[in-house]
Amino acid sequence: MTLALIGCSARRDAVHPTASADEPSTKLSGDTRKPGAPTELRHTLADGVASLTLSFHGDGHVEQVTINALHDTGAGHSSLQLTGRSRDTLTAAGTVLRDVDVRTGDSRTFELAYTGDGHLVVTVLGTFGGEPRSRVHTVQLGTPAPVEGGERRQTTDDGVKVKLKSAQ
Amino acid sequence: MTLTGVVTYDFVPAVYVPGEGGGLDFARAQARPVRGGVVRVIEDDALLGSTVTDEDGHYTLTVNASGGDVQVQALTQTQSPPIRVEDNTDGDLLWGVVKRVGTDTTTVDLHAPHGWTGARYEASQRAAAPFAVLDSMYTAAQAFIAVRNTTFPELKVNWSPNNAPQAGDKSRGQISTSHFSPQEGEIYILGLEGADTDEFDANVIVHEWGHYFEAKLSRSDSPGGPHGQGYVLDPRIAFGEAWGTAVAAMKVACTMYVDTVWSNGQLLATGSDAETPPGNDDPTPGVFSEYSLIRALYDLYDNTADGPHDQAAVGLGAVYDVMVGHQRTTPTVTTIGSFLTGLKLRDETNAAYLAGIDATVAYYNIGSIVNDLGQGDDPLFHIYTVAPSLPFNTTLYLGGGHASNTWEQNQYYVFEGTGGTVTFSASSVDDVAFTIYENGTRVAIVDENESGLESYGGTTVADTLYVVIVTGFGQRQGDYPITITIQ
Repeated sequence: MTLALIGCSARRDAVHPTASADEPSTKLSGDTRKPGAPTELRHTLADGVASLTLSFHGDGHVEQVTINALHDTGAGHSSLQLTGRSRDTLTAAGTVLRDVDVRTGDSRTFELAYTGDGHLVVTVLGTFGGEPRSRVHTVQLGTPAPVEGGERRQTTDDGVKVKLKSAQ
Repeated sequence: MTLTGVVTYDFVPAVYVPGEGGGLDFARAQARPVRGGVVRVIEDDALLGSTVTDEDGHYTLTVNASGGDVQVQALTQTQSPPIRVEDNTDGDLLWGVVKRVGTDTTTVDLHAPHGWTGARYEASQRAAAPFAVLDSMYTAAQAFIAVRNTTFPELKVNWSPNNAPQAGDKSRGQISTSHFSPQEGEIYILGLEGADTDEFDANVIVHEWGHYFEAKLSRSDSPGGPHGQGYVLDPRIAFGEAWGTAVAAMKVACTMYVDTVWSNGQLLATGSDAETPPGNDDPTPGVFSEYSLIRALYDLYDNTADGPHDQAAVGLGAVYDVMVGHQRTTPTVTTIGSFLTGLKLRDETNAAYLAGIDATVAYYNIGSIVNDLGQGDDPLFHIYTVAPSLPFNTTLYLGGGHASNTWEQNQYYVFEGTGGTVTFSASSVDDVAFTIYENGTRVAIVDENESGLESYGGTTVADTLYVVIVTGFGQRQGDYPITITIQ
């Protein structure tokens, strides 16, 4: 291979001025991730209150952010009551943010009171990098029962372990 | 007894129309054959016999039953290529559907329904999902098998109705997002109703298959992590993610990457088109843009010229050859530079062939690349710093406040082995790390400290190419210096 000296590099040239994705200093696992809105959700749960911080790692326009509960119908019911600083941004039930421009590094915090077990679902819809993009984040509340479809579990004599639903 | 039948599943198209939206079109659900799928006849818990379905989903199986409880099972498993779809939240059990049969039965058809009631999934009827995942993976593999004599290693795919977009314990369904895990060598697909379900999003699924292909038959040096439009990425992940989406468009024969999601109980979709000409959705076109590379790769492959720039039509066989050949063995790292070098080497004296490639990629602001270092494309070439001799010292400035998988936070250093000991050092007040490749093989990852000195010394092979990727994790906005020493 022929190698060419580029230079004893000092300051890198700025090739493209557009901001790229930012995130808190975390080491990457190497796992891939399907494309979507450049958001990250952090949460804390304490005394029946979920504090959610949604961070944006790219510039864009948020069409809407919704938060809703997936009830655990097996073990009980979750209910959501929205409290806290985001109330004045509500325009519809479950919509906590609508029609706003965001910049890299922006964040929004929402606090919700809850009871029971299930999942909070935070869905971001917007335009990022010029294209419609979405990202869903969930937060597990309590210990929701796994989804059960009445499957039959079986281990056959050849050691194969299966989970079967009835065929039509 | 001889049993015959057909195994099918409900396929639900994921649709998206720019400017209008989309979702899962249950009204257009169609029964599709389970191809190459394992069918077993069980009596009580004993296996009487097994076979696989043909390309139309048909099977025939002759067994000797003894009057016990006989059932026919169709599993989410193929043997050629070997693919399994399991429930990662339930002991990795293999999914399937079953019918009990009487002693006089000769025809047993098995159909896995989607289970959608019009408002929600009926859990006991939601059987099609893992078969849809299986079929998309099968489609992806068969497309290469049709053009090249290839053997795929086993692919294990994890799908569960509990798989949610939350990081945490994968055995509880906290899988972050649909993804391929290089450490595990397995794919995970979202399935939580009311949040995000990907089983019918064929391009999403085949994108992840593309990462499995890289890991098992080709090679990827991608650091992984977040990515998308507008990102100025490290060229390794820019290529890797572009590859996934582009190969999905090639295999699924649909250039629209559709992702269905739920918002406040409503099923919606977003999408992007691998054939869409660059407009305002690619603000920084070029070698660090995933979306430039998606369209460049697709235009190189397809035989539909969507503009005067589109002068290449290399086909799936050539794409396969480069990925399992030159891309796998590049002495540098896997970027669009190594891919285009490999593509050009297939017919390196054919001026028209080379010019066609250059014209096609130039449309996406990619230069006329002549080697694995990306020479011919200045931005890519300049991410490599070649040490002409040792010792070598320099000060590198990386861009703080950016994700560690971006162009801003990565620089590649290149030197030739001496046959003796070489020590690479990177020193900064911020957190830095480096990865060492010897002739394309990763030999070390050095990340001991959160600031200060990172250093690694080892015996090098004379006249062998070493590439050291320096990655920064500095989070304060602005450039920060790193002292680099190779000696």
